[in-house]
Amino acid sequence: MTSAASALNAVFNLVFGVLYGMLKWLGPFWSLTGIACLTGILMVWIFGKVSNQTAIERTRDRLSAELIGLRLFKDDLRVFFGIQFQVLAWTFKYLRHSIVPMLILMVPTVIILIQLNLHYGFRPLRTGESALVKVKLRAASAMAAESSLTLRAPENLQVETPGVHVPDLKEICWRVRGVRDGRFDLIVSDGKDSIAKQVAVGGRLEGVSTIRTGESWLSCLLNPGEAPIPVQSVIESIEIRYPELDILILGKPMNWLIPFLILSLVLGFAFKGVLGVKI
Amino acid sequence: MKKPRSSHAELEPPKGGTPNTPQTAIDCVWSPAFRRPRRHPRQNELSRAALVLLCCWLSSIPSLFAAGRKVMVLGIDGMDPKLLQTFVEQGRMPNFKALMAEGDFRPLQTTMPPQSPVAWSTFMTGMDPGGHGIFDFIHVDPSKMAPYSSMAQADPGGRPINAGTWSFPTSGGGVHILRKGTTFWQMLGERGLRSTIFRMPVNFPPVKSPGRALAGMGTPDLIGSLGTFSFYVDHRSDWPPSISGGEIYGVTVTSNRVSAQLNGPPNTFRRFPTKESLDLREKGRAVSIEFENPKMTQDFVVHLDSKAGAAKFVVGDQEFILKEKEWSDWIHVEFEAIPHLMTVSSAARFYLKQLTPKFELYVTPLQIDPEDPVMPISHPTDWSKQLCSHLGRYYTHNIPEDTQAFNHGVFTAREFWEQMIFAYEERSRAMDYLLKHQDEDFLFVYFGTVDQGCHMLWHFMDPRHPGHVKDELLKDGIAKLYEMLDIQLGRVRAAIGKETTLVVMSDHGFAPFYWEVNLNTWLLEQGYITLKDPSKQESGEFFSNVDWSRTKCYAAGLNGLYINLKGREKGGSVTAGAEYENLMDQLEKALLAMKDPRNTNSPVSLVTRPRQDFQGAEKDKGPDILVGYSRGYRSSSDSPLGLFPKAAFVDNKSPWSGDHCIDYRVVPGILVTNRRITSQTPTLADLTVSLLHEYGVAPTKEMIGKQVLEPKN
Repeated sequence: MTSAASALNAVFNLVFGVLYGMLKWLGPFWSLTGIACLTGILMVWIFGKVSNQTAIERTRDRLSAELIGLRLFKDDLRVFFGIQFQVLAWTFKYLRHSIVPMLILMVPTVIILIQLNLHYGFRPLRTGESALVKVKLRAASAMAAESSLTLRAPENLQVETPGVHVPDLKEICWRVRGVRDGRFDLIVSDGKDSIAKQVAVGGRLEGVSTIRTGESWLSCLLNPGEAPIPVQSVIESIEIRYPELDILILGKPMNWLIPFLILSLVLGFAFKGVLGVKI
Repeated sequence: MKKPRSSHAELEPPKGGTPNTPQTAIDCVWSPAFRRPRRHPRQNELSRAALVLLCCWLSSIPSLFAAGRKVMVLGIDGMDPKLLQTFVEQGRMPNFKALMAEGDFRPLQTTMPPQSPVAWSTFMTGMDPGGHGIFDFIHVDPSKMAPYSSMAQADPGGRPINAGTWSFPTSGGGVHILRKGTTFWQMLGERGLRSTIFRMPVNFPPVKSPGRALAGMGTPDLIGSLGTFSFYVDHRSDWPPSISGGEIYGVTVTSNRVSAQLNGPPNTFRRFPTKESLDLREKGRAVSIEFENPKMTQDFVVHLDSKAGAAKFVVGDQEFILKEKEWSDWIHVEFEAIPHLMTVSSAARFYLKQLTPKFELYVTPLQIDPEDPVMPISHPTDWSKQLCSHLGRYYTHNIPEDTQAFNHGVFTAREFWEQMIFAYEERSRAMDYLLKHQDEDFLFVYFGTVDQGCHMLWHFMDPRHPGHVKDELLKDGIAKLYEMLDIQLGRVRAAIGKETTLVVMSDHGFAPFYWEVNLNTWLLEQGYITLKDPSKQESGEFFSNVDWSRTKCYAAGLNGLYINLKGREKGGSVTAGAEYENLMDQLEKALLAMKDPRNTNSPVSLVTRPRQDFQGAEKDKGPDILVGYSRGYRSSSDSPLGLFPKAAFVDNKSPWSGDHCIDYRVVPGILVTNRRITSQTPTLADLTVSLLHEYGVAPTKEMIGKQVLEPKN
């Protein structure tokens, strides 16, 4: 399963890498707007393909008719409540027609959100900025061999502290500081195996992988930035606590998810007429 | 000597110095000179429109004249003229030397008392304490006999709607500045001139005027104090139960782990019954339950690794590592007021002082977060945030240099130095940014490092000091601070244009603080104060042991002495009129005749009576007497807080070894400018008038200064 997840990650990383590469010169907000627009259109198109458009159209027409009925017969309580019941019934029918396409839509939505988090969730370290490197071990017993677990960094990165061992959490942590711009590998070694973790310093709007993990296919899917750690390694994950990337909207910093959800919904609805999709 | 009143009489507004005395549009329209015989309505409308246009044009004339005129003031708290001259002569301050050669240098007469809030308020408003109403760091409410900060006061929120343990105030609270009068940059603003005012003391909340301002000294920390650090130790009994300026918390190290809390401000949305009222209720007493707001807290965990000599911190969702003797960057701290709905944002820096054998962790006072300020620390409100986006988080509270931590032994001298330099570097970066983005007509930048450094490092420099300590680095500490400010001046001179008027000034100078005077103890010895229980002289808080019915006067604040006046003080015993006047005369003579029995020195060299010697509507609201101590002496730290230590005169062996809250004539500030100074004895109030004059703005009638800068050719 983990290898299948890795293969899927490779495909999605390629697609989004190309898309992101084309748009990133626009800056965080406008590139995100572009992706939100494409996402909105894609979602509406998929909805059109996987839903029973005829049934949805019929249900919506019927719902509209019932709503008109409510306005026309508001003086006749018996008819009014009858129509209320019809509205409720047709609303449930509408939900029934929508639920399957919505569940199908969740799959690409989750993939898109994971990929976008890779690019917009965090920013690379600035030169001179420090971050915590957190190595989580698979078992507390591995802490016994803690003295042999080492962190090696290239010249572009300075390891500022010795490894701080936290047996309660099965963790060893270091603090690193970016010295020069670029993407480098940190090497964590337990004496036998060495695991690399990518570090990004500098650069404008570079997507960063915060964590390299390998525990399960799910965590592998959720963290697509790097290949999973082999299961035989004593290391469960290597995480770098990058600073969050704030998207500036009217001068206010915001998490990318808020503008993305609003923009993709608005732009998706705007294009439904063009695509001839009934929602 | 009393403050010479004649000097005030000389301070007339400049005659003919402001040919364009501004007249507002409203003044012109309603002036009798503009009254005309009745005309056709249409004609009247046209005339009015023309008049309004004319008046608008007239009111803009000062701005037109001032177009292109720029002034920058570098405010260096506590820079002393004698030390400056010494360091300049030693060749340590080339930029000051060059500026003195280009323009002029004079000692700048400070205020009585020469305390920073008083002196900066005079500089801002051009008035003495009688006008701006700031007489000391601490004022006393005589009706309650309770001390309060002289600079700002909090306003409570609206009446709350209570529901169980929840409480919802119907309106938010606020805060207002206690300083009276109009600042000179507000006056410039009225003429359309824009200013940038960076950390001016006694400007919290910042007054509104065109331009930008960040509050300085007097700004509270998040819990509303003027700076309360937290110190976490696993050996609580080694430390005193309470110290001023900080809280010491005992923690336990369990399995290499310390769990503790940051204590934030009271949560006004929650209320819990007080323990006292519950106890009384339990004992069967019919009392109504009283409620109090619990403090908001933020848990944090420290994972210690003594082998590595470092620890991992988890504060909220943030994680960081500190080695022993290492400082963190600013850490964002959030306190939850209403779960998932409302948080209060703050920032603090952590210093892991010691990991083993004893655990010691210092945390700075919780700052009002400049990125999301809970109180108005800047004008416009989002300017602190803009600065933050360029400079990162920064100290926002009162005085960043933690002198209290050093004073109480929480910091060593070197640790204090390191912390002070960090605060200085923050200011330095801010000034570079402001110089790069200066598009206003007036720029003021404040540095407090020299002041705080002179307070705490004097005993390293001065072998005569009773608390003298040999330290090869710090014996030169004050000189180094002066050199650092010289570098700042160099940057300023390189950044500003030739046409810019540059003023470097300080609010006061400095003197050694060899001996403490417990003025209340002296008053007790002289029979002016009577205690309820003399055997408990050294115990009790703020005059709690004083028998007011048999007390004639008391000392509060660093220089203030109050008569226990009937009708004003809560337990007044002295009648206004002859008794009051006689007592004042008697006290003046006694204070000036005071002798330190250990060395026959006269600890007091000046007695000022604000009601006689000051001008302005606030002069009756301060102390009855301001005591000016001789060089080497100063009030103790206990006496201003209404305490009665055993001895009236004590050697000062604390690190707080230099001071200026003495006779104002002993500690003038500095005035260095690229312009000629026309007076041999310029005052702070003169400087205010002179800055206004630069823009052709006339001083108000309340201002007591005169123009002292020679007009530029």
